[in-house]
Amino acid sequence: MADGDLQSLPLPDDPGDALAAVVALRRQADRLEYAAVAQAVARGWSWAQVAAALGVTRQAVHKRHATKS
Amino acid sequence: MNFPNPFRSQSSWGRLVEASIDYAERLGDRQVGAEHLLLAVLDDPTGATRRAFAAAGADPTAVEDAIRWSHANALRAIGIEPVPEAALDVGGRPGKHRRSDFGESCRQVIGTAATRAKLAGVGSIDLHMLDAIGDLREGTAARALRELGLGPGALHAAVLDELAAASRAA
Repeated sequence: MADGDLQSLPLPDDPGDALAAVVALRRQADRLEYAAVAQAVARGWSWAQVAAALGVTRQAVHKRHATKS
Repeated sequence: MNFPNPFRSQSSWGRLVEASIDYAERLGDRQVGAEHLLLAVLDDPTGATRRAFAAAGADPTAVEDAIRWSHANALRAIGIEPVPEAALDVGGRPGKHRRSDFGESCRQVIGTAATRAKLAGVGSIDLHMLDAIGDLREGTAARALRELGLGPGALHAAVLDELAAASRAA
């Protein structure tokens, strides 16, 4: 995302609203990550491949997802 | 996390922990927050928390929807339409919560409720938790309560009424 795109995000005047949006975005990102990893593992991707795609270590992705997939 | 001593030995504490974890998983949250604790205390088998909630003017069965609306509205405020939950449902659970997954809002509520329970010496843990959650000014639980028309402190008088009733019955 370019800087211009970030600056075009409508930041709510109320800090509480802006911070609530951060919380809601993180929730959606978590759900998307869980769904994407589950899909990848179901299609035979290795933890090493998933980790590389997410840009994290294999240990990190395994710890976060291995018990749920 | 280390739970305050007043709660460790009480069976209702175990019920609250398990229920709040279940609610966090049901809502797709990795961390247990005060909003999940709120849903858990409203399952209080005595019905005292639901009575207090209704007496304050809100529907206790509407809390889960209010939490979802709160998150959705927060995204819309920055121009993002929330992805429908069904679209990301892969048929699994979002995470296996551990006790360390209890967030700061939970710690705050538990600490406040523990202090009040000790001072009052009466009433269920659930009522003191509800009172403490009702005092929150920021965060998802506070925003969900505001969605239901309950600002900070709006639950306090109703909780006190229930505590007084519990005291008379004791």
